[in-house]
Amino acid sequence: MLINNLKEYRVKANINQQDFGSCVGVSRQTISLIERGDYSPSVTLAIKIARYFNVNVEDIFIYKEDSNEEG
Amino acid sequence: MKKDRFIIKAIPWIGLGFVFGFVILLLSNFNFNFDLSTMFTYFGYSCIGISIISMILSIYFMCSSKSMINKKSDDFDKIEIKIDNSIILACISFITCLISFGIVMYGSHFNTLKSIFSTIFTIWFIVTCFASSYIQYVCVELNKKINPEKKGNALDFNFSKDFYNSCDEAQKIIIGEVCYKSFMINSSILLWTLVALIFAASFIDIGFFTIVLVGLINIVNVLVYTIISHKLQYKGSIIYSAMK
Repeated sequence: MLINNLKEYRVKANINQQDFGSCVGVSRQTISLIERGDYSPSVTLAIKIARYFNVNVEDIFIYKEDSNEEG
Repeated sequence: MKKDRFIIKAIPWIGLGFVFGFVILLLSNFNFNFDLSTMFTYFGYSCIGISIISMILSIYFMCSSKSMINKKSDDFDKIEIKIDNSIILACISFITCLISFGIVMYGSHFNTLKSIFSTIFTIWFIVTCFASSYIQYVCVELNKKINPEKKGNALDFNFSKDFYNSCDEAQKIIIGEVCYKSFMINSSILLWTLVALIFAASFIDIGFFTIVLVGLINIVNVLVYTIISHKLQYKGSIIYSAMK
């Protein structure tokens, strides 16, 4: 499963969901979905988000093995 | 969770619509019995009850969301739920009105309905057509105020296309899942309706037109799904074209 620190980065950058969505080319709802963990973004969007904060994709999005997948 | 609560809230209102329809039935001094045309006419009254109440609720949600936007509320999720509720209820109002209007046409044809009620139903049908279009237009404009990236005019013929093109990747995935579930439900309903109609044709005279119509709709439904699916998989179409 993919977990993320997007909200922490966004709050630290002092930008709201609406403005951040405009910066990376998606809607406020999509940013909200990603922050809640209800949506895993495409590679393109993940890179755009990481570039906005000048960090690597893995700093924001962390892939964790699902215990169900291992079994 | 919020959707569940909305449905729980909506059920009493729909029930009230039926009660409202039944009161109109009593006021019309209609001789209530259990033959097919009477049951259809009763259903028509009940549908117009649902239509009127849905329209009132739809206007309420529309005004409520408009007021929140004017007050510059930043609770966008709540505003969007109200806008969604308003559009859903306007659609329910329009569709139930269409059903009742169809039954009125049937009642008028077989003289089971008083002319005064035919006139009232016809006027309500025209009012609903304009009102539901206006509500959808206002709701889309309100949605555009809180989501400036959204495009399209609800009164334009290309609205669905323009609105879809302005959606981002997550919204397009949601639309895709909604369409898939809608297709599955429609296919099941159409298939079972066809089976029920074939079964009913053995007992009552329903004519062959309804069976042919339901069968044709079923064929179109399946063909559209398979053809578009084939095109997207094998013709090199770009999926998520919005994310270049």
